[in-house]
Amino acid sequence: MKKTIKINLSGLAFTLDEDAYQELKDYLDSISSKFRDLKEGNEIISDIEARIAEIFQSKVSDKKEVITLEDVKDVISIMGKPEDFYDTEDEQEASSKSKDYTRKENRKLYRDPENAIFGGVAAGMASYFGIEAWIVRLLLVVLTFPLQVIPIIYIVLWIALPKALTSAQKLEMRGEKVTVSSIEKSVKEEYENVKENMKRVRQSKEFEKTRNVLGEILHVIGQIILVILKIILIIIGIAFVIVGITALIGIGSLVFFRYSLFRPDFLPMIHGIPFPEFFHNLGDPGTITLFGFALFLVIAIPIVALIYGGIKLIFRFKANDKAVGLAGLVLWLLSLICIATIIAYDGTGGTANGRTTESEYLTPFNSDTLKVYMQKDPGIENFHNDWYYTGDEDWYKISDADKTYGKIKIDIEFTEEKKFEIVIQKISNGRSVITGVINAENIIYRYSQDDNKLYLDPYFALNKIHQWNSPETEVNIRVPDGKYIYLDETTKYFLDDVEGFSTEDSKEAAGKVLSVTAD
Amino acid sequence: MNVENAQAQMRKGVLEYCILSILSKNDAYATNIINELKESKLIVVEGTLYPLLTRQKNAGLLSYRWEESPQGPPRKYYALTDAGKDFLKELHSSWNELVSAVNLINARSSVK
Repeated sequence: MKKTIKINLSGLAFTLDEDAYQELKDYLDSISSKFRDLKEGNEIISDIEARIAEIFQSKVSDKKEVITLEDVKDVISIMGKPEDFYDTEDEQEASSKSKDYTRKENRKLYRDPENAIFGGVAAGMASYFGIEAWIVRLLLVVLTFPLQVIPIIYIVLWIALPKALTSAQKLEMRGEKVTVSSIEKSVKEEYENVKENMKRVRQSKEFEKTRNVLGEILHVIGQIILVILKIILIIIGIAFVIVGITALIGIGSLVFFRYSLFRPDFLPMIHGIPFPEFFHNLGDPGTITLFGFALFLVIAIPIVALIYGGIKLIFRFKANDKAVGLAGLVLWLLSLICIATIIAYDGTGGTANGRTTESEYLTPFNSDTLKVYMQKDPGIENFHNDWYYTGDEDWYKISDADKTYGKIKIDIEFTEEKKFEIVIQKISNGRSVITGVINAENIIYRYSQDDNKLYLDPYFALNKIHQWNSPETEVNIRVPDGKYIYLDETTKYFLDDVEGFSTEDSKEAAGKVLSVTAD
Repeated sequence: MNVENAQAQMRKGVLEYCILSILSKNDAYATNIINELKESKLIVVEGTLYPLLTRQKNAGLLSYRWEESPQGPPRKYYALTDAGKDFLKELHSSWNELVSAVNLINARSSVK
């Protein structure tokens, strides 16, 4: 009983004994290594494969279905080994290349166009690892949810990896399984190389005659260093891949899925603003999305390059680095230009200051004292009532699904008028004073009066569709001569400027009844 | 320097000429050409032919078309192009010059 292997040669299917397959693979490898660097190489290789297929075809019949080692040897004697080919153009090259026949080809990573769904990357990887393609596909799809970078890596590999076109490349693609033992084997092979070189040094005539072994010894040392270097490179490659993927996950979730991986309170604060909210200061949501995406690419592309380099170090495949590098560089530069443009046009949109003022007399009430309270339940999702009793500046800005809220400031002033007056000043930056005013008009602020009680919302609101350009809202309460104002304890941390109190002491005014006089 | 090597070099030199010459009679696919070359002992292994055919085709001397074969994969039928015919003419005259030159030298040497 013998194991057989099915192959596809020039579009025809053949069944080969295992030893016949190995012989054919070595032969096609030798052909491939002779011609593949020539520009017409692929054509020559596929012509030769077609001829081999033709000879195989004549060797199988209804009675004999399997190609044996004898048949393959026969084919090789008909076709000749590459070193037997006359070659009119590169005779010297041929003699040096013939060494390649004995060299074991390492398996290479290719794209498999025959089993492809998109680019054949998954199928190629499946062949490389010797597993079923659907397993790789399932893994890729499932892993895309926690690792959003997988589609990007897929596309990079799609561009980078060559397609396995000729049978020799397909054989290379399958090759041996990458296992610990195969890595061990390749390290062992390197070690054998070193040992052989050592032996050569000991036996060489040079050694006996001239004692000039320094060169040989250096050569051997070089070989040893090479082996160590290869192992180190693989370790570095693995480290690159791990570091790169970790970094990408982090950045990806920060920019796109801000709360999916990290709780918001784990994120770094920038000037007391949670990191994702910081982007919101830059512009309208469309611009923010574009900015986020461009920023992601600017950071991610070098990391993808790192991962790609790592994969290359580990698997050492041949790839079209130029195309990938150029595409990556162009994309990176475009993203950078995009970011620079957004910052230039939107980020600096805060230079001019716009202000709107709404003034209203309070409805007359039957008392000399106006009592000011902060609204207990302002209807803001993330608002906590205990913030009335802390001066923590981190809470000057909060947000929920569709609005962003900013803390207000309360000023108490004297007025010549006979009635209590409330003035709402909304302030915002803009590219010009006019846009500043327009931005300021988008600020929403509410208060309500119940007889002599005034309820102020602690926070003003800005819809998220509007740009957050350092907006502020000041509530000025103007007290007429001879009247009193009571400021509830809850107003304490909102008081900014109270007539009769210095700026530092303004908070002391809370909980007191004041009469306000002109200076 | 050994005899086989010198012979191989000679055969190699005329191989391209012979391929064009064979194709000037009839269009042929690789195996036809190989069989003729093998009969005249110009080549030993078939693999030699394929790079030569591809290079001549890329140089514009040959063209090819695919034809179904009764068995096995479709075959590439090669034919001489006009450039190929001119090229062959040049080679014909060089060959004749070469043969007469060699004969002349041999004749003179045998006289001595």
